[in-house]
Amino acid sequence: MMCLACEQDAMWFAYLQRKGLITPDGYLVEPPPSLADPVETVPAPAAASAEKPEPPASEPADKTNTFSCDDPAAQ
Amino acid sequence: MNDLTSLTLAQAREALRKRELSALELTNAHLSAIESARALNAFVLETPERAREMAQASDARLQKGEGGPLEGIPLGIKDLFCTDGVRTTACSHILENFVPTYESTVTANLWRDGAVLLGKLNNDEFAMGSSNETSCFGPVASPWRRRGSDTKLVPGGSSGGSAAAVAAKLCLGATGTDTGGSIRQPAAFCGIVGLKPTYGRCSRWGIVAFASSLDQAGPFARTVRDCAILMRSMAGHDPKDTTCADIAVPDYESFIGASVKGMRIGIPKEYRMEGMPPEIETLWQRGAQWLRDAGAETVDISLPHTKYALPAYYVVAPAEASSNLARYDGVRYGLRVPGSDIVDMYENTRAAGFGKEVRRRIMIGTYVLSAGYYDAYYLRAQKVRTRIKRDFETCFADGIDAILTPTTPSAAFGIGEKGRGDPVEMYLNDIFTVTVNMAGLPGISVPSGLDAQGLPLGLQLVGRPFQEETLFALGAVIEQAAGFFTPVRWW
Repeated sequence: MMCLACEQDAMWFAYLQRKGLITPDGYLVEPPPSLADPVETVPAPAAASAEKPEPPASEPADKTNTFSCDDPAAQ
Repeated sequence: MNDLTSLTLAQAREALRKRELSALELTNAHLSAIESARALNAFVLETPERAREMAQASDARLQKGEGGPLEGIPLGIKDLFCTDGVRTTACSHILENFVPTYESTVTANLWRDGAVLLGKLNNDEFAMGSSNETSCFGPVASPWRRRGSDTKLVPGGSSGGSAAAVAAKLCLGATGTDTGGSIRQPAAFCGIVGLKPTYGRCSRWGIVAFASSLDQAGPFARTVRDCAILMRSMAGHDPKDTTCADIAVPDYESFIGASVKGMRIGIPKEYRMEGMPPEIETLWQRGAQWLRDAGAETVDISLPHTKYALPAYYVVAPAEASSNLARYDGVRYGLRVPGSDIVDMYENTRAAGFGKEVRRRIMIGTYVLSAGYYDAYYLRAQKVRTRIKRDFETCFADGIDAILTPTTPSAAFGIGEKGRGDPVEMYLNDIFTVTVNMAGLPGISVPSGLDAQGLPLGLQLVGRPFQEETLFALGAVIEQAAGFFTPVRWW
C-alpha cells in the first residue's frame, strides 16, 4: 500500500511515460523550467486590443484595466 | 401557450414583455418540470415558495411596464453560489446546514435584473470532479442516454446539475463555475452552451472558493444567444473581489449574427490526441469548415506546453484548494464532530465532513506547498503555467482571434465507469479545458454534433482576454451550422 504522495508520483509518472515526456529511466525528455524562469501567480490577463466583430451597436470598451490581485507578492 | 419549458430564454423574455404569458405561469411550468425530473438528481434544493414570490414581483413590475433584462426568467443556481437565506452546501457534508446571510455578487446581479430562483443545483463536492459523482447528494444522471441503452450516464462536472437541468428543460438557464473545465465539459456532455469568461470578468465574491486563481463563474443555456443574455447580467466590476476587472460589459447579445469574416482561427496541433475517437477529429474539421464557410480563415498553430498542462494544473489547483478549505475547521461553518481536544475536533470534523476526492486534493495540496517540496512541485508548476499562458499570448500576438478545439476527448461515460482505480483517468476529461483556466482566458463550448451512440459532442472556442463577444459571434456561426440537440425524455 502506497502513501498518497507516492501514489500521486506513480500516477503522474505513468501519465508522463504514456505521453512520451520522460525517458524509461525517468528523466524528462525536455529540460524542466529553471529557477530563472518567470512566474506569474495569477493569470492577470490584460485587455487585448484585437479586432472584434462588428456588432450593430456596442459600448466602447474601457481601456483602463485596474486589474489587480490580492497577493502582494504578485507582479 | 403550450410547453412553456421548451421556450428559449430569449423567446420567454419576449413573451413576458408582450404579456403573452406571466412570470408565474412560466415559473410554475418549470417547477412542475423539476418535480417530475427528480430521477435526474439535478436539484439539491428546490425553492418553490421563493420562486413564486419572485415571479409575482416580476409580474407586478412587468404590469407597470418596468422590469430588468431578465425579468421573470426562472434560473437554477449551482450550489457553490451563496444565496442569502437559502442553504448553500457546495455539495459537501461539511457545509450541509450552512445558510448564508449574504448573497454572491453574481446571483445578486441576476436578481437585480429580475431573474427568478428555482433552486440550487447539484455539483461535485467543492467543484472537485469531472462527472458530478463526488457530490454528497449523490450523482446527477444525464438526461442523455446511449442509443438503445438504459445505462445512466454522467452529465460531466463539476457543474453537472446545472448542465443536466438546462438540457432537461428544468430551467431556462443556470449558473456554473469553471476551475479546469467545469462549465465547458458538462455543457459538451449535455448538448448545451456553456461559457467560462475571462478570469476577472465575473466577481468571485460569495462563491465557495476552490482554486482562487483559476475559478470563474459563467452561464449555461440552450442557445448561444441565451448565454450572451445571461452573461451580460452576471458580469461586471465588483470592488469586493480585487481580481474583478473594471472593464465595461458589452451588450453581448448584439454580437450574435455579427460577421466573422476575416477572423483568424487557430487550430492547435497539440490537441490532436492519441486515442481520440475519429468522430471527434471529424467534428473538429467540420467546425473549422463551418467557420471558413462564414468567411473566417483557419490557421495551424502550436501551443507547445499543452502536454504539461494537466500535471501542472493538478499541482496548482490542489495547492490553492488546500489553502481555501483550511477554513472548514468545525469552528465557524457547518459540521462539527466533537473530539477530546481542539486538534482532535478539527481532525474528526474534516475527516467526516470531506469526501474522498476532496481529502485527496487537500493532502496533495498541502504536500506540494510544504517546505522542501515547494520548489520542486508548486514553483515549477507555476513556471509551466506561465509558459502555457505565453503560448497563447504568442498566438494572439500573431493575429489569431480565437482558437478552435474539441471541448472533450470523448462523449459522456457511464456513472461509475471511470476513475475508480486511477484518478488521472478522470482528470484526462479536462485535458482540452485546463489550459484555458491556467491562462485566464475565455472559452465557450457549443454543441456541434452527436457521436455514433447518439451522444452530444461540443467544440470549444478560446478567445483573447475580455473578448467574450468574439466567442459569441463565432459560437453562433457553429450553432447555426450544427443545429440544436435535445435528449429524448426517459425520466
